[in-house]
Amino acid sequence: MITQEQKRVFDELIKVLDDSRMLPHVMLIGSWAEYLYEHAQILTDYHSSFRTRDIDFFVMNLRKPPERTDFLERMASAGFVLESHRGSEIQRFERYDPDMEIEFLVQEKGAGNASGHFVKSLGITAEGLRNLEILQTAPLSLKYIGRHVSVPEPEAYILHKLVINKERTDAKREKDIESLRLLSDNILDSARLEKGLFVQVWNRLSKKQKNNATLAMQEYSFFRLLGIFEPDNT
Amino acid sequence: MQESLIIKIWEEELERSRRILESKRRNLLQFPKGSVQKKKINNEEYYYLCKRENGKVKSEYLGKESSKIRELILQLNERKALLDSIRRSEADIRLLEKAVKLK
Repeated sequence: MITQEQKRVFDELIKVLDDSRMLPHVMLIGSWAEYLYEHAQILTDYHSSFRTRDIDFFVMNLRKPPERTDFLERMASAGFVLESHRGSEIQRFERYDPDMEIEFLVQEKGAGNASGHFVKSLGITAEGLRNLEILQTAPLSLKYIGRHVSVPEPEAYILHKLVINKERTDAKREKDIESLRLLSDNILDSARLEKGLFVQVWNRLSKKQKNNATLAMQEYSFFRLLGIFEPDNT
Repeated sequence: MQESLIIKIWEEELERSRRILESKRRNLLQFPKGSVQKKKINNEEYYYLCKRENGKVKSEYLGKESSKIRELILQLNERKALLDSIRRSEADIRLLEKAVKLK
């Protein structure tokens, strides 16, 4: 569950992003997207399962906006502390009481760059991660505290987490599976399934991504979901 | 929820708490130490910064009320709040360490 204090920090963060005109350029990913699914009531009787102290945003295009914004200054005024990962140039924000971590992530391409990617508009060095493009295949804009916040459609969110399941730490992997089960069962039991978003996102995955997701679905017995994509494989 | 999952979550929480505690300690260094005291002399108020140096309490004259003194008081209050936050983090870490050892 999310506490009132965590929600207050999240709201402040959304306001800073909006005030610095960065909000249209980032997508809320990670478990806080689940909070927005619940808040916006896009799923029937859905209640997100985990409390988390990480807020993750995906910077959708490194070059947009092209100019440096006043985001960094606004974050500092709002009490967010910029920190570097130990022994790395990658930066993230921390907020104390309640203690929370805010990370910005970018799409990793080619050989990759372990020292991160400088995001000019934000003024920070962000970590590059692979497979984030999956989230962008089905974006959804949700109204929150009077602002439009971009999140992935739940179907893209689920498939992305299944694709990257093997790369996650043990605790994160199992937490993911718990919350994915809740989300996917909700969609599979509802009329939302008829929108066909699961298949649309699936069809845009690479062969490797499909293999990874299939393995995760088999390992954690997501057979109903797997049946949608690969009826012969369940 | 499985017991093993709970312990893994605690372990991650412990790691994160240690990381944030380290950050708080680093952050603390940017704030001035001491406390501001006000003295009334001949109906005028004068401010002093009192702090401990090498085991001795030293008093530094700051002057009459000014924006600089108000800013210093704000920073000293922020330092105090951060110190309280560090103590809370240390207590949380002690609890998490005990919980993780139970496995």
